[in-house]
Amino acid sequence: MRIIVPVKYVPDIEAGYEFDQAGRLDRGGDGLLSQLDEYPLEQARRLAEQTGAEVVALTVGPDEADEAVRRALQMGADRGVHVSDEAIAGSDASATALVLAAAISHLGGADLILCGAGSADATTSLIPVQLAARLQIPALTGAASLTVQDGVVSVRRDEDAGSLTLAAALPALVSVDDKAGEPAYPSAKAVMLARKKPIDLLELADLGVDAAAVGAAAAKVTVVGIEPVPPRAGGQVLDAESDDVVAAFVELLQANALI
Amino acid sequence: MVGFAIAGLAATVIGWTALGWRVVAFARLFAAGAPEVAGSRRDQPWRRTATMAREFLLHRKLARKPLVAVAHWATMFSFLVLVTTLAQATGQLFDPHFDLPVIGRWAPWGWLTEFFAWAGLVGIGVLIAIRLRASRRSEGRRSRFFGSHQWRARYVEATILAVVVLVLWLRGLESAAAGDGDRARFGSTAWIGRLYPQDLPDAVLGLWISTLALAKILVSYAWMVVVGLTPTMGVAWHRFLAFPNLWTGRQADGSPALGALPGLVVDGRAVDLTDPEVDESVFERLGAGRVADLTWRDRLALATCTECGRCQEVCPAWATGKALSPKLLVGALRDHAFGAEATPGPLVGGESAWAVAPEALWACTTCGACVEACPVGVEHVDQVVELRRHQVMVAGEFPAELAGAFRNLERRRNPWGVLAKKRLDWTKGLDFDVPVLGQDVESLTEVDYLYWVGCAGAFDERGQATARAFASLLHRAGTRFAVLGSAECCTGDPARRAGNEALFATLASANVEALNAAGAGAGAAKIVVTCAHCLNSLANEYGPFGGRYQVIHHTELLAELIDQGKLRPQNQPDGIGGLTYQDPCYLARHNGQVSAPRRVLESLPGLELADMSACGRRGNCCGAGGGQMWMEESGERVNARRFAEARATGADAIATACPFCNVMLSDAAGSAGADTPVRDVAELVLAALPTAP
Ligand code: SF4
Ligand code: SF4
Repeated sequence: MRIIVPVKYVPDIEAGYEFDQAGRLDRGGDGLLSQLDEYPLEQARRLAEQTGAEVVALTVGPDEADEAVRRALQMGADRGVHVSDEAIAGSDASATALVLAAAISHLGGADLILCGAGSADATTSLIPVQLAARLQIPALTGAASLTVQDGVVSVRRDEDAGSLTLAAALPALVSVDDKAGEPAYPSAKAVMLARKKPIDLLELADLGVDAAAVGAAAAKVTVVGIEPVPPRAGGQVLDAESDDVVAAFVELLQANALI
Repeated sequence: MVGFAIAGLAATVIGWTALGWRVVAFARLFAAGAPEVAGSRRDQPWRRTATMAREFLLHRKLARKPLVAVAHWATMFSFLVLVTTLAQATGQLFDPHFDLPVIGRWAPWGWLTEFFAWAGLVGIGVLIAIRLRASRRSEGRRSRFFGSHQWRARYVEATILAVVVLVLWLRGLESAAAGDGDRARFGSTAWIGRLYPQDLPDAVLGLWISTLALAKILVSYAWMVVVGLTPTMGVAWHRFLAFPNLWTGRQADGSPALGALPGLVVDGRAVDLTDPEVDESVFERLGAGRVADLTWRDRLALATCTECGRCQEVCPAWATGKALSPKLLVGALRDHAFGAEATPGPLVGGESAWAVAPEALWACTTCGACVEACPVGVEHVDQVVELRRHQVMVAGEFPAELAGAFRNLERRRNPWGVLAKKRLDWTKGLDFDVPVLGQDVESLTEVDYLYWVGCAGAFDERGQATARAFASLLHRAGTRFAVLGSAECCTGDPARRAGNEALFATLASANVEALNAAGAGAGAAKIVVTCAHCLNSLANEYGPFGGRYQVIHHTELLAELIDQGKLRPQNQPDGIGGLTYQDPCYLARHNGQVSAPRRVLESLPGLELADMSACGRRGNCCGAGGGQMWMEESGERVNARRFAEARATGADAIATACPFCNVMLSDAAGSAGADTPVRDVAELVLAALPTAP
């Protein structure tokens, strides 16, 4: 069995986002593996432990995205594939799914594709479904747990009203949410061994994808404007030492029409 | 008579066989242990011999309890001298008038024997009384003997008591049997002989002598059989094993095994985890996970522990009700390694009744109080970290909170997880510019000191206040200094002491690279730190990574600047009168610096420094070390206990010299609802300076 986990290299959220002129996220600077991708990687590791499946971490992104793949290798993936091409810069979700699908076909397909519930930066959560559509395989999204048996993957999805158990014959795509189980901290051994695991570099030409079909020019969605969240105004502190603090508090609530 | 001789000789043979058999078994067991680094623990043999002799003759560690020290010293020497009386007694089985050849009839020898017999009697009497008193039921966990094998100890004590009583009694009878002209050599026991009727026939006297001699022989050899059959009876074995254990201590000069932690070793070879070519087979064998991973010295130390509980008594984790007692940890490992219950299972958390509980392993603050206290040279901190290394790097089992700290250290290179670009935020609000290396200052040759701010100084609110105060002091003293800014990362101390040696190695290499690129090293500007943990790592642990620096603690530099008149404290700082000082474990115990901070504090006008009852090298931990800062603590808090001790001095403020002590004690003050100020020494000095012109 082969499991492919598409992973994303995202900017460090705390570093604060920086946008370029065209309103796109600046992907230079400090980045890391999207935290949400650690959940499918953990599931892949567990499945591989049970079934001996091969786990491939696949990313599409700039040179630095290597780091995300390396982390995935530490977390148990057997090998990495990194698709990097100047022409891809500025791609929207649809084009990214196109490249991912082409890469997966190039690799000979997968029995199971495990995705994160979304990426930690854009959080559009479009990739899993678009990718499944491109590959024409079923997509089970938001899995809180998953099992594979006799060529069938079953997942449990927790919703507000209750939980749902879904199943699909392999090959299939499952997006895993953060309830699925905390990723294990990689052992020193895993970290060391990851240094020697291969990461294959691919370009669009290798995948047979037309450069014109991807990139900023081909994007079907354009970012028209972008504005950072305004900083929050500081709260108002009432002096607890003073006697009429309660009265002052009530007055404040009334003044703001909160009671 | 013949019956006596046969019984005595049979006991002799059985006793020595049992003891000899166990000695051989021990030797095999130790030899089967994992190797130590080649050349270590055997270097400088003369120095080691001198160390061993000194510890043995002077009883320095025992001297903390002077009465015990004297009593133990007397008992120990009486054992050494009185071994000869065993030969004497054996002879008396055959001939009641037997005397040892050559020295036997020499009066000074007789006096020496008697002196040590009396000394032994008093000594063991005192020790017995102390044990009984200290292990009263009402003492509970507070007793240092809590959890020790009390009956084993009582048996050993009873044996010694019986032996010395029999020696004295026999001497009395011998004096009665000796001719009148021969009494002088029984200086202090002749009165015992006179208790017997003067006209007692010689044969009856002879029978008395042979009977007591046989009793003495049986008591002694019974002891040999018991200890021969009980390898886990450290209370008996320490009298032999303490010698090799002290001789093979980590430090040839006998200083405690503190400061730098030993690096990773597999098969006696150092393992460099930053080396990409490192042999994969070592990954399963990092740290100590099973009995097979315990080195010969680990095993020797385990067998030597006498269960005296000196380590337990000073352990902050034990004192606050945690599962950890260094004594019980050693005992569990010992029983696991060669008790009847020996099992091949994991040392930590396994099925075996002797496995160390994970809660115990992870409660250690690596404060080192146990190592400092142990009279026989057990090296608990190294042992704890070896176990943690296995848990983290191989087994992958450790407190979940630590994984967060490790991730922060990996991603952001500091345990708080704050971005490197915020490393200089602490300088905001200063009325001068803090020179940053690579921006304002080209190389370290232009400055006197590189100020290593540390992560706490950079990111923690209290630490930032200290960093600001210290930088202001440097500025006011006209000292040329610079900081590394965003090039600095965590020294790796929390990772290393939490067992994540791989992460420590990564951080250490990064720091060494940055420091060496800045020109730090021998002959270059000294590094000054405001954190005791940074001090320990930078000064003691970076050598193997190619970093050898001269590092001083900020209190040392402040003492110097005050001595030179570059800083002139004139005011009483913040109206504080009575002050107490918290010795950081990693400054005082691990690095031996107790005087500089006190000198600084004593130079501040109007302050009265009152030390806590446990202070200096014997100070109690604040609770933050060993990665505890990043773990959850259950039950009574270590910091709350230390805060109460500080308050008991009657001081109105607490001075600290490490940001972790500062955080812990400030938090404790907050939780206790007290407004006792907790200030770094640097803050107090700054407050004592005349207001800036
Ligand atoms: S180092 Fe400190 S906390 Fe750890 S066992 Fe020793 S005394 Fe206890
Ligand atoms: S480890 Fe040392 S201090 Fe602790 S009980 Fe054993 S001999 Fe005593």
